[in-house]
Amino acid sequence: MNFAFAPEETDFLEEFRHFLDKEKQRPDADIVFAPWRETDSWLVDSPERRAFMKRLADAGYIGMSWDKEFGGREMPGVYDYLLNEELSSEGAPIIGKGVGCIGKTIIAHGNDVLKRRFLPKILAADIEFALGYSEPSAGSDLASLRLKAERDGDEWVLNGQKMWTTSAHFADWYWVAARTDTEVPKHKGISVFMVPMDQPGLTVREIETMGDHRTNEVFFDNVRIPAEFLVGEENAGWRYVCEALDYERFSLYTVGPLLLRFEALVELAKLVHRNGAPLAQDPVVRDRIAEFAIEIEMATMLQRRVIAKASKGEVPTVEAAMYKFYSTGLGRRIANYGLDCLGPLGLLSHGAPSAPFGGRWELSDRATVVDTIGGGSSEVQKNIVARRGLGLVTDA
Amino acid sequence: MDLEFTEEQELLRETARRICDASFDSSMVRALESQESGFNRPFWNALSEAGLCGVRIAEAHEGAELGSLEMAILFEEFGRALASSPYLPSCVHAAAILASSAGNLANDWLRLIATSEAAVIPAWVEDDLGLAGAPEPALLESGHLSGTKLLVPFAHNADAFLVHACSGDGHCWVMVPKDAEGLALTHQANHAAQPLYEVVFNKVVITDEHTIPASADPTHDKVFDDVLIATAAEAVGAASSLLELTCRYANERQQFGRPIAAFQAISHPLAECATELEAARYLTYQAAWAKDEGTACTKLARMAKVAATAMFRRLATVAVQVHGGIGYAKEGEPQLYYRRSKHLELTYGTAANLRSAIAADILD
Repeated sequence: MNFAFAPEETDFLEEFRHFLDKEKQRPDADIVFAPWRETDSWLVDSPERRAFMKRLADAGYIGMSWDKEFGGREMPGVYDYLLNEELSSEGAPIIGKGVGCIGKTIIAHGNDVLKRRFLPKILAADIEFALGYSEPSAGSDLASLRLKAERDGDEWVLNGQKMWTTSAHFADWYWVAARTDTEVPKHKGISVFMVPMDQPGLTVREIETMGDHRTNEVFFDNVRIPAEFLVGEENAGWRYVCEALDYERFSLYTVGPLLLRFEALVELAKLVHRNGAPLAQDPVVRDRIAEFAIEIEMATMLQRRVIAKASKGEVPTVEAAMYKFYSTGLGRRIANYGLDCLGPLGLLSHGAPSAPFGGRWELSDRATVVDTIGGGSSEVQKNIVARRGLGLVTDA
Repeated sequence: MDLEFTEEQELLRETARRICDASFDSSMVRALESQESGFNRPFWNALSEAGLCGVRIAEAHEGAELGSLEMAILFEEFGRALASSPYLPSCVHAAAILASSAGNLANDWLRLIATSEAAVIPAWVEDDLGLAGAPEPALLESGHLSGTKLLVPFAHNADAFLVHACSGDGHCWVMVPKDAEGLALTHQANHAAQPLYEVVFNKVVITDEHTIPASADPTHDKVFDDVLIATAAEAVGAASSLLELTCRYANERQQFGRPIAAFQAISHPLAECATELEAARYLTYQAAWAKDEGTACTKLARMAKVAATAMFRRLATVAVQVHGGIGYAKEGEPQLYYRRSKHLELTYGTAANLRSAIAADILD
């Protein structure tokens, strides 16, 4: 048993930190490195952030775990994890959809047209994707999705609606799960398509959230795409969707942002005074911070279990579900407690004059809500743990 | 990073499990709870025959000189079976105290502990609920030890006590053989029906070479790391078997025409406990690993103790609820775990005490 990373892994980290140190000297660094943006800090949603991803690609950090045949370096997946841990700890965009689920699914199942068209662009960070899964009546029960795709000669015609597509307003391509057969059980009639975001008939409308986080609903009105934009086999989409989560097992589960928020809370307790003394001297606050410190360490352990299992080449389904609901719930409670520490002045809005800490905690309290809902709610994660981890007889 | 055990460690776990299975089941736990001494002689002999009593004792003293991680494996197995013995006080706590001294005491006693020819029991809990808010320490003055220690485990089976006391030179552990003049034992009935005793020391004659320097608070002593890790591991093990039996019950028990596991009011609390259990388990392993690596481990050990025992307590309350009436009845299993979880939470460092030390580490 060894809880430390291997020497070659820590060497890699050190090398990558040098890269980031240089990046942080650039004039646009405050746009690229923005931990206060919470979950949004992962997005490649501005020209500055796109340029940063290009530099990341030029330095060879994108596609490290891909086969050499497809331009990768055949490095173990743990390096993708280490990379994202550093990036997310700095509030920088992370590598994910392209090099992860989309790229790897295309490599495994895509036709030659898709491979030629997308793989080089993913490696060069020339392309941004949006993921189209959820629909108005397909949330936690994703397999009941209804967006319809019908074959018409050499084309597919898509009609329906997607919900909660975070990147739709800046992405170039849309990875969409659609229903191609209504006569079979719901899991067996789904296919995956690549759709250009500027295709006629496709409308993106903003959904505002309380976390200042933009997400979107997307409407398909007779959107026509060529037949070769079907990914893999017709009606095999549900398998790809499930496999895709497996491809992201190294990149999705970082602990850095949680550690960052806890460190901010410690800092807050040292700086904020009440009754003439720092909060850090108040026994009640001290007890809470110790409790959070323990939970942070527990979250870190759950995260290590995900990486350890993935490194053995196994799919950490239960481990990831455990980490997901435990860490996101904890993150939200820390944000909530940060506000409590500030008292009524903590209510002043992010960016408002004289808001303590620039309103970081006020925003944090609103923004962390998405973490316990998006990507499978905490309740869905607990169902996974109950059924697949504990072998409990469940309905869902 | 590698979260797997070695083959030797897995073998050690199998050995410990075999011994626990052979001499501990629920009826044995119940039988011991009804006796004052609560001592399972065949279990203790089996540990001794397998050479397990010296896991944390140096080879120079005929111990196996294995790591904290190996010790954690043992305690996980002890916990699974709710197996209680003088192992924690004698083979872990007393062994660590003795190993911290270079003198003759270590030479005299460590070998006897390793070979289980003797059980040495630290006696350090005092009444701290008085108006003064501070315990009355045992005093070592002009060669005489006087004081009262409470909740001393397995005192009836002790061959000697290490008594935490205040002397002119500060705090120390005083080695007192069981048959010394001036000793009196009284059994103390308690929540988890564990063998706990009040031990009164009345002007017991002590010679100088029978003391080892100590911290004012034994739970804040460097030698306490292993005790915290062992207690955490025991809670993890006990929680593991409780979770298994509770999940089994939830799948079998039918109400409203279906297994109660199908209700999320049942399955979600169990999923939460399972998650906290794995977190606490690996936190305990990490603390033990850090100890074996010789890196800073005290904070991790404190965290592990608080996390594991709080998790066990939470699971025990969930298990009682899932079982309903049978969870409250003496014939059911959950009540054994419910009481034991509180025992583990409050012995060997309370959560409040340990969190206060963790906060100091972070904030001061």
